[in-house]
Amino acid sequence: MKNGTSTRFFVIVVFLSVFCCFLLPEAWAGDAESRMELFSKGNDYYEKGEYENAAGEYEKIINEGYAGGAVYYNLAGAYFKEGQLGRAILNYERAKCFMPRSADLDANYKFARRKIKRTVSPRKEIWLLRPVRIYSDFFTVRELTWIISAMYLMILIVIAVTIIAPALRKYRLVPVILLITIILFTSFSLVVKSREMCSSAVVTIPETSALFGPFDTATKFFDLYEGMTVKVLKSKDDWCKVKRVDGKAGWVKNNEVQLVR
Amino acid sequence: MKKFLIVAIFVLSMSMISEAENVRLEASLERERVSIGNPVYLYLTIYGVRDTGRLDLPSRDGLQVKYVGASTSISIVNGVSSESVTHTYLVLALKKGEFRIGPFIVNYGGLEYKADAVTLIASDTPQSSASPPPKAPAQATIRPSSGQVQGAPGEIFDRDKIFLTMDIGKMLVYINEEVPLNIKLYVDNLGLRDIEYPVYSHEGFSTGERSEPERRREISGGRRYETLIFKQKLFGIKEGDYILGPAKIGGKVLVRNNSSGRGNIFNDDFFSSRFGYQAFPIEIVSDPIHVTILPFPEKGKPANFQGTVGNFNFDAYPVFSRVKVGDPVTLRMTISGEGNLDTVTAPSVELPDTFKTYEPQVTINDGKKIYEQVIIPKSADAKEIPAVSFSFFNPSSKKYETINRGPFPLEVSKDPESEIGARMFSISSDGDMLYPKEKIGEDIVHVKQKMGRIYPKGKFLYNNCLFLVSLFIFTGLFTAFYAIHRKKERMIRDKSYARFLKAPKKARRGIETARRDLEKKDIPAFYDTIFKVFQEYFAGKFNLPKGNITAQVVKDKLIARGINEARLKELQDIFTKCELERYAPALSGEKDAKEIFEKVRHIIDYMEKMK
Repeated sequence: MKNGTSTRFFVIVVFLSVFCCFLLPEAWAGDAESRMELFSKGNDYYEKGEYENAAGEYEKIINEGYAGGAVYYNLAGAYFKEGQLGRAILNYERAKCFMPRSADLDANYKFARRKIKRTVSPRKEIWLLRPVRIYSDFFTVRELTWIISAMYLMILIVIAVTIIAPALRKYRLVPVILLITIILFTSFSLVVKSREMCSSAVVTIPETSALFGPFDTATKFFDLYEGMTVKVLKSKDDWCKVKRVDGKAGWVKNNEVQLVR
Repeated sequence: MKKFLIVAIFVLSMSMISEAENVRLEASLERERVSIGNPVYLYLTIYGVRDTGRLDLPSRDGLQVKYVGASTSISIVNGVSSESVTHTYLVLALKKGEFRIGPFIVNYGGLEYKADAVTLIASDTPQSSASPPPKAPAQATIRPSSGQVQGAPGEIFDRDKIFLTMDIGKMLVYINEEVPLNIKLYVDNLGLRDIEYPVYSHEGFSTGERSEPERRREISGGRRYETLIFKQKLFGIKEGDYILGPAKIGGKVLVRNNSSGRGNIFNDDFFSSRFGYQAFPIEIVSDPIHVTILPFPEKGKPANFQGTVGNFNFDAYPVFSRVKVGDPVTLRMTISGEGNLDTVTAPSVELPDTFKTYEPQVTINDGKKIYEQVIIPKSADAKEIPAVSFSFFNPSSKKYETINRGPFPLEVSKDPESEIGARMFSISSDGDMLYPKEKIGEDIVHVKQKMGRIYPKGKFLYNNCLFLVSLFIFTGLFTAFYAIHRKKERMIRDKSYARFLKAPKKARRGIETARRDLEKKDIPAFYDTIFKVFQEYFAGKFNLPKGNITAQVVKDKLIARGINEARLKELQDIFTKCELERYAPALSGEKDAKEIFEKVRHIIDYMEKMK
């Protein structure tokens, strides 16, 4: 067996890859028992109708430095019931980062958004970015990262297989190009999603006005209502420049909006 | 040829139509009020033509009319040429009264052109002979381009002959207030061409659109001027004291080469230089104007004031007043009047929670700004659209004004679902029981009972060290796998390479056998093994058959590779010793064999380091 050592080596690499894939998330999870207790307590309060207490328990988990889809989802629900529409939508946005395909989350998010006092028609999106948005909205940042890694390992595996079995070498170009395309598209989607997460913010006060400049006496440009999603373009002192979905950009105070990330 | 004729006829007819469209007749009096016995000029100007016969105006009771003469004018402004013929009449009122002269009708090119009548009022009180002359700007200068003019044009044209004035409606304006700016070029009996639009600095102001320049005749300071008026609207944008201008106009003045000819006003001629004219570039400069832009007064400023300045009317009404819940109602708000429409913002509409609204759509049409606000009643409790108000600052009265419209009553009926609800358990025409449409409740979905996986906040997989290191390790392992595989493949393909790589291993095995022979004190077998080790090692290294390996062959190869002389001598000693012991055994003892053994080990090590 001329290629015996190579084959053994290859099998070890694949085994290690799979092992690490399962091991890695666990390394992050940490001890979740205490947080599980807080979560259950929050749910108990919620079911008793004590929404403020429920939100407090969920917030404790987040203040400990941990985050999860269900935590944000329940926190958003508690805020919604409490009448804090802005914070509810903010936390639904955060929950979407962890569970983008959840039907419950989607229903709650849409329902909450219908409660916003005024609707603004969004500006038309560039058609080229539409597939990227659909793709990036479907997956979490974590999943997109895994897809890129898996595709990368697949490329290595395909090359390794064709090294061991030279007869297959003539078939390797198509899968390698396909995998590289997936990697590039996913990487672009990941960049787009990460940037959006970093700049997205939600108005958390009942009503405010975006001004032409970052000072109190500046002329009013347009109105913003609680729950509206904006994009933070830049900040200066206590002010930040935000862009509404219809493309209008103006200055608001930092404490009037909260970043999703 | 036929095609050419058709095209030529078409072009000719189009040019005639175009010419006919530009021809017009205007009549004007030098003054409308005169005292009895004072003559006044009447001008009949036919624009768009260069040559036309005069119109006979007969004298009548109390009014004498005398034809003075005709003058032709051709001018080019920014490359657009225009021409006209002016017939001048002297009109003398002989008695007191109001005289209507005209209307005037001129035939040109088979078409009739008409100008409205003019009215002359004659009184017995003496009238001033002319309107007060406009103040000629002190710094008004005519600057010929250096080096082009022979004989200084400054000597020919004094400042009463051609000058430029700049006039703004107000010296004190408010932010956003619209003020007209007139820049007027006065020319007395000079030929001008290629007149450019005026330029001026307007710090503190934004400018509106320029209108087409107007041409007029004016008597000023006893002189008759042709004037060209450039109008533009300005808007103050920042409070403070500013200087507008000076305005500058460039153009070319036509001068007879012998300096004795009198040209007509604006008598531009493309071929003037061929007929004794010469064109000199000139620049005419006006005086600047000091203007102050005032801030809005704080007193009485309405809360919804957004910086709108002017004198406006405001009207608002809902397009429909009977709607169902969820149906849109358009509230149309129209703002019209005098002022800067760009500063007009949407009137404020404070709606209760029973309505949902969208951003208003805005259109500007015919000097009106129209806002259409879509309002959707969310329930039948919405009984009226509250009053809307529009505030602006009126610079004439220097006060804020607020116009309120509404409230507008609405009749909002319930949605169709609730109407179905009223027909509970009714029987349909088919005899089937009609059940009310099920009412679907709306609320958020209940909280999650399982927390699921949680992660450290703000940390992402792509910047996790463990993750990146593991990817790096896989890449390293793959590279190692690839390198090993390549080496193995070469060993299969390249026999000499394989022998070269295997030689040290075989040598080490042979040295081990020799050591055992030495331990067993089997000296002949020891030397035999050592010789074989050398043979196989060097045969592998030099890719030669084993039988070809002799002391001389090895020596030649190693000298070529630059071996140390001491080592070479050791090597030769070993070969010689082995030869002797193999063919004449028992000449040396165990001590010599051990010495040889060590030397062989050193030689092999040395050779491995050498590569």
